[in-house]
Amino acid sequence: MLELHDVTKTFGKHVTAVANVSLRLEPGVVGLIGHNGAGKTTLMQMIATLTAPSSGRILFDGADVVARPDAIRRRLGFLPQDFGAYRNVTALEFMRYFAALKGVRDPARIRRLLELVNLHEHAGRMASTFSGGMLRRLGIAQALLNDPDILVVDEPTAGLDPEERLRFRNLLADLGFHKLVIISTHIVSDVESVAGQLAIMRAGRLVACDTPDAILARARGQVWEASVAADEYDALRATVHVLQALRQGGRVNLRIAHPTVPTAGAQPCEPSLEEALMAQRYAVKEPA
Amino acid sequence: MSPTSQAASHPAWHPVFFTIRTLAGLEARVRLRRHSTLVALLAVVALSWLMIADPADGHTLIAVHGARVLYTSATMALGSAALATVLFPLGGFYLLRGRMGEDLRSGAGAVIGASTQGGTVFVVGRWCGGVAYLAALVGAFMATVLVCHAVRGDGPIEPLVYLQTYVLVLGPMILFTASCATLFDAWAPLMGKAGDLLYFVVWAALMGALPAFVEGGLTAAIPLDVTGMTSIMAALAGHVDIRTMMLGIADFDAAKAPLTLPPQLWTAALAGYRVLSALLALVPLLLALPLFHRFSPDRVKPGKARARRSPLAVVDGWLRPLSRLTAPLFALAARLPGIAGQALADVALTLAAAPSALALLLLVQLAALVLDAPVLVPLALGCVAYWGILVSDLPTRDRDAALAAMGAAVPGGAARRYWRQFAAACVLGLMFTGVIALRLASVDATRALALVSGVFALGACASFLGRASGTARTFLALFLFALYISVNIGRGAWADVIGFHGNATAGSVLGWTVVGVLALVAGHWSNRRILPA
Repeated sequence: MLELHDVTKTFGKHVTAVANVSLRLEPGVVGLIGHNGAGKTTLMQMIATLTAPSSGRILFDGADVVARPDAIRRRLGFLPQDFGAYRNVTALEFMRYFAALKGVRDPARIRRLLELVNLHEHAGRMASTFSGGMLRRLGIAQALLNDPDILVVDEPTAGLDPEERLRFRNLLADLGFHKLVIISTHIVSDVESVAGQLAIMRAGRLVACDTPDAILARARGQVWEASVAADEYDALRATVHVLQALRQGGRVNLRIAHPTVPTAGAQPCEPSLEEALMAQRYAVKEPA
Repeated sequence: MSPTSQAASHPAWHPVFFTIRTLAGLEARVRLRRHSTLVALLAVVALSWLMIADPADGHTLIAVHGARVLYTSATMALGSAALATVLFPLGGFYLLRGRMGEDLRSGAGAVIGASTQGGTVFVVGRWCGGVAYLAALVGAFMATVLVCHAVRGDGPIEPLVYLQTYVLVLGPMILFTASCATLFDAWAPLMGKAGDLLYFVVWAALMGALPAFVEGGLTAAIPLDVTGMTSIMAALAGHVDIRTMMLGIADFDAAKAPLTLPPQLWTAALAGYRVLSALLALVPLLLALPLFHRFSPDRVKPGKARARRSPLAVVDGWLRPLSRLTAPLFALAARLPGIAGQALADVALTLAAAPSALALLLLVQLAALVLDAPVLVPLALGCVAYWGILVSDLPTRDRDAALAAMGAAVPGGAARRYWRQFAAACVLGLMFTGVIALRLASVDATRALALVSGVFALGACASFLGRASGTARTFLALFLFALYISVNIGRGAWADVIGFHGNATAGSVLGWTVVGVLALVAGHWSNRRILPA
């Protein structure tokens, strides 16, 4: 469905934001994971046709997105990381405007989408007065206006409270049953329960693209539990990657990422997805 | 290192002054790096070369009773300062304006508000930054004039003569402009478009009062005239007959012997008056200190709280039910294919956001149908003025609302957005002036064509300047200035951009159309550079 072939994006002569990324994505939820500055947003912007790759090809159902960007735009829903609202424009007018820009002729769809994101009772309110969570819900409603086949959402849960986060995740998971939903985030918990595939980026490169189960399986035996005395802790953390440290009395309970037994008495444990990703990151011996 | 600790390493600096210096330096740098500064600089260079005419073409900077005044340093400094003192208070204000709005949008305002720094230090720091920025622009202007002098001058370049004139004439003007920009940003009710318009009224009133100042015996009015024009006239009055003097692109009689101004035009008394003007120019700054909102959410925040305070927003609030009229427009826009539908969507959004425009549109159509043809001309002027203000932020609307990326991911992308927003501006212009133009066409076809070509050219300039400078204020300042000049200059086909005086010719109509096309092409090029999609 969506194919990226050796996609590279450079800014000037010295900054390479995305380097030789190749991917093939089918309908489902894909989590694009990486630290800040890993190149996620640039990659998303290229998929959303906001910026063109410096080299490489992006194909959507076989059509070259760079040469014919409208081929994907008609079937694209895009929710950027940061966005606002026009002044003196209600949520309903905001939706009508984007519906007109996308050529969506069914006025009932606007109502349905406002109901879907639970904003129908605020349709007549100025969108600029919305809270962060309400604005983000309006943004997702806008992204769904043209019933997109591919939905690109960048850091979708930033600024949302826990309840809204959950609702948002569920909404994206539902959409992922039939559509390609690409979620860019550096918060692993946003995607671990909904993504069928994780694409992991580091320093502009795609370092892994696999299912969460496969990533967890690879990390087994690399995450350890240990309990050490408080005075041993300082010495230990200089030599291993501590994922978690919890003081209890005079001892410190640790979870550690390490390819071999990190300290006497350490026991291998079941990693969480976040720990698995960290363990694999440390395994390639790059600075944290 | 904190400003306090840095100040400690410079014993001569009190920490407060060190903070103000740091803030001012930052402000000046932020403003100098903007695209709008580059546009302003190019405009300054172009205007200075245009206004300081080449005598070989039959025009001169200053003419007295038909005799040319030679291009000595005194003439060039005084003449160019007179032009600058008209342009800079308007353009400079709009260039300085809006930094606190940016702070609000970026969230930096909350950080500043929560800091331990006093409001006075912050406001004064911003003002100093504004002064430094305008001084830099004036410096660039002076450099341009010096080059012009080297090419067209009649005598040696005397930098001290320039410096003295610029400091005395433009110094108080810079202080006043920066003070007003600071006040209009610091006091919440003046932060929006209403403040922009109010300042234009202040500037127009200052310009309008100049003849009264000059005719009223000069000296008493000199300290009140922060622009310095009165003091220029007073300085010249001792040497030439200012009643027969023309300033700007003046015609002269080559047969008459040219005049020469003495190098020293400024008396101690005039200099004293300018110092008084400089002190008066600080009044808006003094008002800004107690009125500063300090980014308190109770007084300013992006959105409703600020909108409520704007008189135009209050009127729009009353007329809000009218915005329902835009629903069929949105529906029609969704059905029209390609750029036509998207441009109509932009029209609908503009009207939905400003219901007062809808009300005015209905009234204008009615008036245009029933009024006599002679009354249609001032009506057209009013319509163009309102339309220009309405569409000034159309090209930057997505960027201002942080919706640039969202709006570029729709069919057509960012490249088409430039064209559809220009088309929307033109459609809105025709909605306001179309019926008037049709009525005028039966009486004076050239005037009607001038109105339409003027709307086209102004719409293109709004799109280009919005795109190139990234702010609506560049166009707004130039538009209001051009409108003011166009209304007040009753001669010349070129100055009659929208056919107000009936001086437009087929050549001027064609010329303004070409200007519009060139602006569109330049804007398209600029747009492609920013967003390749």
